[in-house]
Amino acid sequence: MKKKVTGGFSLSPPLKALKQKLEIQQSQVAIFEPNMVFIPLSQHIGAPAQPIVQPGDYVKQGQVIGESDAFVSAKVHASVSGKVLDITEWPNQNNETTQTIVIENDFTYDNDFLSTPFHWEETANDVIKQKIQQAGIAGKGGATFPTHVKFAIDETKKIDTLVLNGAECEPFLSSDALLMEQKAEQIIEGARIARKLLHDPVIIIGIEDDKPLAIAAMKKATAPYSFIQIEVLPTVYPTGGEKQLVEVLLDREVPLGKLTADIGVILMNVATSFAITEAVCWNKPLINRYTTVTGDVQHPQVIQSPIGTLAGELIDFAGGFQGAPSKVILGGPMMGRTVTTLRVPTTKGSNGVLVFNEDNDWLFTENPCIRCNKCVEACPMRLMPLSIDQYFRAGDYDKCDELLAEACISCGACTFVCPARRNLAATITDAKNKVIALKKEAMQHA
Amino acid sequence: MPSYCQDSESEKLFQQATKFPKTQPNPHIRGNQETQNIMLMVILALLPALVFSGYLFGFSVYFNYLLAMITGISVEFLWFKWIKRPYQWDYSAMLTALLLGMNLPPSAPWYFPVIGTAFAIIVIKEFFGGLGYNFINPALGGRAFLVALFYQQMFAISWPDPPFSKLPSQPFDPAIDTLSGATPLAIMRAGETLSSHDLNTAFFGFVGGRAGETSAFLLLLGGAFLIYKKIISPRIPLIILGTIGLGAFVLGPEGWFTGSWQNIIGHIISGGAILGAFFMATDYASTPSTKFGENLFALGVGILVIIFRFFGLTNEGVSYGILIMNCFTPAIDRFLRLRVLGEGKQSPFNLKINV
Repeated sequence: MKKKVTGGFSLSPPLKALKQKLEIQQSQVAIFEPNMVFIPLSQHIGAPAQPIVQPGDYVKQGQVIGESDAFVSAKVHASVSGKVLDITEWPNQNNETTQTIVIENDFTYDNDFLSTPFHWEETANDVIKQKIQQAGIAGKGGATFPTHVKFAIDETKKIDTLVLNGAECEPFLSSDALLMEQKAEQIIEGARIARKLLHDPVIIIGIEDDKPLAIAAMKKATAPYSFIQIEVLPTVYPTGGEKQLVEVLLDREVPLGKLTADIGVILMNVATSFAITEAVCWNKPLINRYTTVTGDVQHPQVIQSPIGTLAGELIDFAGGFQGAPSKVILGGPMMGRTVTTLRVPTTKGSNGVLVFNEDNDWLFTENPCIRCNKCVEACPMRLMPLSIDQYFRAGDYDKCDELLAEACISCGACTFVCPARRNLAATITDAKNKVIALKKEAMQHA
Repeated sequence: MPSYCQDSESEKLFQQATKFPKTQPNPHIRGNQETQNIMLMVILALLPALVFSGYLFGFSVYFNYLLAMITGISVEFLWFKWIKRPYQWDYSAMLTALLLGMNLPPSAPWYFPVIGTAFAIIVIKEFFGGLGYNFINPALGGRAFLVALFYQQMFAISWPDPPFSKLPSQPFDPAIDTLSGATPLAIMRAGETLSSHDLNTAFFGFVGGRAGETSAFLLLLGGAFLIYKKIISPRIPLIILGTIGLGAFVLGPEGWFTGSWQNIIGHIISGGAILGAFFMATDYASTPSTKFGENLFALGVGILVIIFRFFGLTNEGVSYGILIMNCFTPAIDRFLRLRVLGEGKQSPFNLKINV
């Protein structure tokens, strides 16, 4: 069956050429070991963790250094061994500051990881879940939702399908692709662990067709398992969006305001699946991650580094800037966020650092909407971006609500295709936040 | 910065960067279509037919195009001066002027393009909010204004005498028109069947008609270019032309469903149907926002063209068909919107009706 995505777009020829130029040809992931790591205590959706170490303490690699009593929260671990230097307010990726633990790397990587793998097949689910919670795993696709919460919520619901997201639809990023090429077996093992926790659903893995090596590796690794199916998806942004992937793979729609679990589907990024294997089999918490450093840097590459590595040091490691730097984005070119300082450390969700230099950074002036409907065709949620944009600018929030601005996933497809260069995604995201805020206010007064 | 660490080289360089703002909303890459180049592409697509019209009807046609463009650009420029907004150069006024020029009879005197374009730009476009806010196609609006003012001259039929010369036009008279001035539409109106010679001349454009509308072949070439460039979708033109063809079959000369294939093709390729379907009914601002709405719009245009051609006063009807459906556009958009992914139950064509 040919898979079809609602809306979305393929890259234009000049961007395809750029993507090819940035294509990362590497068989081995580069490993970067920083002198110091800066581990934010709040890395994801949920309550921030509280520090449980003091400056001057010695910590092992993988030791818990921050935790919270709240259930929707993930533990934070030391990603290297060494001395805790400081607990301080430090810049984060939202251009704000967060309480951050600074650890000096002693390069011994002293840890308590297992040396022989733990056999999870005969272990009780509760014990496995405990291990996942202990490891502080949060979704690595971008939303960074704590993984143990996902499994707990879904105990009450019948899950028939586990979808492994290997689409990595953000152009220019290849962290997940490289991970699939190199760690296919561990990814599959993680999926099998998750399958056990979810009482044997079918597993479907979606991978975009621009990653032939990853597809081949994953096919090889899944060969022994009849309950795992690999689907090759067209390279269309944003196929990797949660609702989009469910639509494409299963032809099901996630009702507005509901979770995928409500229709019997759990989604997991391939990197999350890998982290589950590490946690369950080796007692290794989520402390390293693959990050694509690309764009206008000397040597674009995928770098494995401990969580808490500064963006600037990753760029240094990739050979520094090419040309005069203009903007630096954490994440991909479509949904990534610009940062004002490179002191920002990587977190559990950091999949990319993208640099634009002055020659490649364009500023656009907005022109009047010509009602060409390209945004309507591109919207993967089937919203009417041109109308929501117009009503929001006119201050008609009722209309924004009527047109379901809340359903926007901020993927940026509308802005990408807009010939009038309007910042549609930005205004619609504002509209969405405004509608949510107004509804909250109304609830309080009611 | 705490004393125990130092900034990376990259951070030092990055802090010196001041040329552009460091924070920008996502996404950070853009597609390559821009308003200006869309307009320019449409003008480019019209070019073969434009050049050919001068060859057919004489240099005075070029003069009319030029006058229309000068008027269009200067009135728009003055308007922006008057409302104190920076003038935006986007070729849209030029496009409107050219389309209007193509819709004039080749015998049009110099003040036709001037009055028509000025009305189109100022009244139809700027009064309603400028680019993107015109509720009807500006060029057709300008033409409708001229028809109201100069009915006879607007419907005069000039006959081609290539190259580059012009015969005097005949004043419009339905009686004469059907007898001697045999445009393909007039022949068919008289209940006759087109010969393959008639079809041939009509397809390549060696027939009488409005300046820019005669050559179906060159206009189709331009239309194909726009479809290839993804500037227009083939849906609107195909539905309009298909409906016209179907209508010509249903309302045949011998009774229901007796239209000959010659007449079906004759209706599709003559009388501005191609120009209208590919270049005017695809105007972004005055057509609906959803694909289904667009299809509905196109169907309406096709039906109206058939009604006007078979039951109306003149043999034409494309421009009024489009204008009338333009007026339905806000209603179509008001009542039809796409069903958002995950909103309620499946519905036909993923549509939602807003009441």
